[in-house]
Amino acid sequence: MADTQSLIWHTLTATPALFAATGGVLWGMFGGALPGISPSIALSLLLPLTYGMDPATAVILLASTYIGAEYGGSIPAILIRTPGTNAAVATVWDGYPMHRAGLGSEALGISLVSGVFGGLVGLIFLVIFSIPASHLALLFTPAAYFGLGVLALSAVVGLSGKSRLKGAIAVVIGLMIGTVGTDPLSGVPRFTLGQVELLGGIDYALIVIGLFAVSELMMLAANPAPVAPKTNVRFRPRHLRIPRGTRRAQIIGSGVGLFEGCMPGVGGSVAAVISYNLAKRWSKQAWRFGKGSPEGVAAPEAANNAVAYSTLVPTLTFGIPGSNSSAIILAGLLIHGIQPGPLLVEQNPELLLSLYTGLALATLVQIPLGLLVIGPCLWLIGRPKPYLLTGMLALILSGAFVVDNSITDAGIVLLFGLIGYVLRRTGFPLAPIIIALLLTHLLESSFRRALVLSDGSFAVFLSDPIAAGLLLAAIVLAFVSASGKRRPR
Amino acid sequence: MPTSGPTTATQDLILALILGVLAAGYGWMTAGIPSSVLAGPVDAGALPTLLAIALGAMSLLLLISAWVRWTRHRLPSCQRITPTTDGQSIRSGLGLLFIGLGYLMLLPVLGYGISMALLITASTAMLERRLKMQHAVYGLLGAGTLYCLFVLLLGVPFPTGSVTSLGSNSENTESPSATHEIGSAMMGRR
Repeated sequence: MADTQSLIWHTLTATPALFAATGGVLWGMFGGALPGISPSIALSLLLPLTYGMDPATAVILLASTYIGAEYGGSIPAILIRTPGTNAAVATVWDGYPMHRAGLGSEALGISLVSGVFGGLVGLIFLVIFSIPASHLALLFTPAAYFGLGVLALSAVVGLSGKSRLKGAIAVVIGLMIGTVGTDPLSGVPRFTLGQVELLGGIDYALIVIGLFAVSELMMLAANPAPVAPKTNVRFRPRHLRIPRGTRRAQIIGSGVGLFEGCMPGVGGSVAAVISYNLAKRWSKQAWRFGKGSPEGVAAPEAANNAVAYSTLVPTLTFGIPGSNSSAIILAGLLIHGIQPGPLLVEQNPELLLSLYTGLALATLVQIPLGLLVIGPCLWLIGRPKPYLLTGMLALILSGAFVVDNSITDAGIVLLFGLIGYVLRRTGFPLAPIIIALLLTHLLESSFRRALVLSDGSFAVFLSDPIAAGLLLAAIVLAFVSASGKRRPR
Repeated sequence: MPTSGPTTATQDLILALILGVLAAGYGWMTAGIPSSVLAGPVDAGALPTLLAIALGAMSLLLLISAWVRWTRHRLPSCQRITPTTDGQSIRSGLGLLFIGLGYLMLLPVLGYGISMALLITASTAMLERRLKMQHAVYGLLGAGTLYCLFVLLLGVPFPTGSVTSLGSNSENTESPSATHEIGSAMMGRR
């Protein structure tokens, strides 16, 4: 206990955790507030800059950015009817009518307070459940890990939007990219084209930046959004007093967010829409939904913030990312040589404790920062898009060089940007590529280790009850998603 | 937020063919993976072979479904690509990419500061479809800010440029030694 307290105190005073948390939230808020700039872009732009940091500071910075982006996305959703992030889609439905009715500041206050509420619930969930989950993960044999990986990919394909065939192809492409480099068991080089640089594989950071950030910039350049209309709002501390009756919506949103965050490939947008519908169904004033209901803002905001924390539970304990943002956080961990999984708690308790402390800081600094950023965010939203896009392109190309001080790396980023652009234009989801890429090593090494342990008998996948259960669940999920109706998006 | 462009049967047909070629190429390269006694019951080429077969099969499925849609519906007018608008938007997207490539080619020659200023100026002008003085000012300011951040504050060894360093003995910092490259590769760049 004393050790824990001293480590928390050390994190607060002797490490840059406070700066990382504050900077991450601020960066995330600006990134989230800019329509078209998803949390994934905000995160991937930061990824190269984390190379010089210690792992704890890097992860705090990335996780805080994700948290900040969730609130940032609600600012344009409420004020200009344009969600800054996908997860803020449901916030538009009642946030904008509130703004039209002269209650824009109140809606921002509800969004901020509900986000912090959902965040605190998510943080408690993360702290309480990450250790038991890692104990559970210790029971997993290589065969069970393989089953878990297959289930995660099956879920990602099932939730990959319009075309599940394209989702499945995206998964295969991600796995193919993941096979470049040295074979994890035998050390044999694969697809390295004789290049020494490729022995360690293609750097995750370069793929993430290219696929998410560059391709999104190209899409935005191709379809420039009009300059946002000017809007004015005074956001003061008194607006943080939220109306009665929103607590129930916050609890519903947080509950949905916790559950959805643990599901691979779901993310904040699905959680926000589901929580909005549930809050409406269970509200005493359901008729107000869609016309400016405070509950309609509180539920999705609590949900998408809770997701930002709960998605870290499977990411940290099993190494299975729940969303593309958590996949980038996972990439950040791997870049620093930290292997998420059940042994993370045993081998790196300091990292986890520092992360929890940093997340608590990030959650709390949201309130003052949320009040301060409205003006600068509105100014930024009103800037002509070409200037923002070129600024980001410059940042991306500079950041790509930082990864290994190599011009070739910046070229690889552009190449993956082109691949991402072509895939986006042809309706392919990108998240399955990144999640599959990050799971390649886990899937392949678990599969082959299981066979080594069973002397080459494939029956090991059926005789291990956890593995058999997970593989069965993956098959059922694949059939259900192939035959079922599309989920509302 | 624009997520994806208009997906048409024609696009899917072309893409299915490209993916088929990719699967064949990947499968062909898989045959070159050497086997090792350390590999265990399943060797290093097993997963890539499986992936090549899976991609080939799925691209065939995509090809068939796109072909069926193409012949049945013959692309309803609402789904047709309007050549001017779509062509223009593709040009803007690809233009950004080509300017980025140009920057990478100029970087070892002109150095970070000048190449970055040119990148920002050219891409802003391309996106606004005209060149204005304020684009150049923005380029200089942006390059200056990034130079301060990356070179002066973070100490990143960006190339100084062969043209700008003419006459001085300073080495181009871009190419690290072979030892460093091999070392970082063997340590695993991930």
